[in-house]
Amino acid sequence: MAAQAGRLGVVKVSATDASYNEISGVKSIKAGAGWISADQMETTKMGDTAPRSVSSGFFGNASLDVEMISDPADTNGQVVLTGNDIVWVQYAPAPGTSFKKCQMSRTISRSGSAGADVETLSVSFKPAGGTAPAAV
Amino acid sequence: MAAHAGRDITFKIGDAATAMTEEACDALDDYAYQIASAAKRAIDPETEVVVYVDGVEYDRMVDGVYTYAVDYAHGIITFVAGQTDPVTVSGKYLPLVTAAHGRSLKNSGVQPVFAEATEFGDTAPRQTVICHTCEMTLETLAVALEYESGVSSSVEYLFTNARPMFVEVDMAPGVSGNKLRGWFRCQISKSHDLEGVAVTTVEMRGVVQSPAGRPSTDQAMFSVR
Repeated sequence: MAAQAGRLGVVKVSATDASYNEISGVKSIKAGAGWISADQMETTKMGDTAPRSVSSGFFGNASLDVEMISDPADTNGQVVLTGNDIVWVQYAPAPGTSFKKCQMSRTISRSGSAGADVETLSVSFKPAGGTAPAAV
Repeated sequence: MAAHAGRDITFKIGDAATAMTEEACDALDDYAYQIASAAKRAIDPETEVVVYVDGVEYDRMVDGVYTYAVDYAHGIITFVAGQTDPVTVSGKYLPLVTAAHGRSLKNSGVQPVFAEATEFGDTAPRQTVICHTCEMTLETLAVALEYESGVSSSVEYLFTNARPMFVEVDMAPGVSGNKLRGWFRCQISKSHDLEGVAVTTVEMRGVVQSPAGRPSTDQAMFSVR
């Protein structure tokens, strides 16, 4: 069996869809349905007796949730996320594999405690700018 | 009790359609004939099926009435009139490849959807009505995949075709009546963490295909056999 280690996932960011830089300190990545496959629209209607019918919709639910160790020195990665403008994000399951990119907005939450845990950022990305995830 | 181990479940997906010419069929009875080669029973609905009886093309319609029905998922031709001569089929089939690295599977099955219809004043036990003839989902199928572009056994690779995928799930290999086959639309999500394998979750919903050159009653759809 050749399953892939989860730690190989890659997320990169760019302010302008150019010069992408890998975000440092990533701990977990969740690419929701919509990054790889389109949403599903149910098209079953009144009077149908056949099984449910479904069609492909838009990539409106292309969520990408990334948790990372806070690194204020990551000026090309994490610091780009702290501004107010929408950014370009690339995600790949492993280095050297096919990336997909999308222009995205984000919400960020920070957490820390007085104990030994590092401060973490939880970033939730959503598609913005009228784009859908596209192959790089 | 003859329980089945979950790890024996097989999960296969359809690859690109491949031509078949006058493929031999086995008679299930006087009316139903199934493609003899198990590897060729998933018939591509986008290619017209041509049926031959004793080597002669069989008219698909007589006086405006279709003379046979096609089960695209299980490769079965069912004639209106009983047959005694050899039956062969031309068209295209979908080769099945074992999907890589399946780890868990949950199938809600083909079943009706019920809604509660109990009303004020009812004294009998709860009333229900059937609101939909069947619901088919293949939920929470989690597979760990090694991401390799172009690997045909990768669900993700085949899904990049952005069209319904043919799937076969055999919950009890070697036991008849447990094989779900048909066309499904898929939604794929992925998750990574530091201490496990990358997990791809595929949520599938059964869909109906309109086959080329066939009536609407001959829809290519999912079924269990």
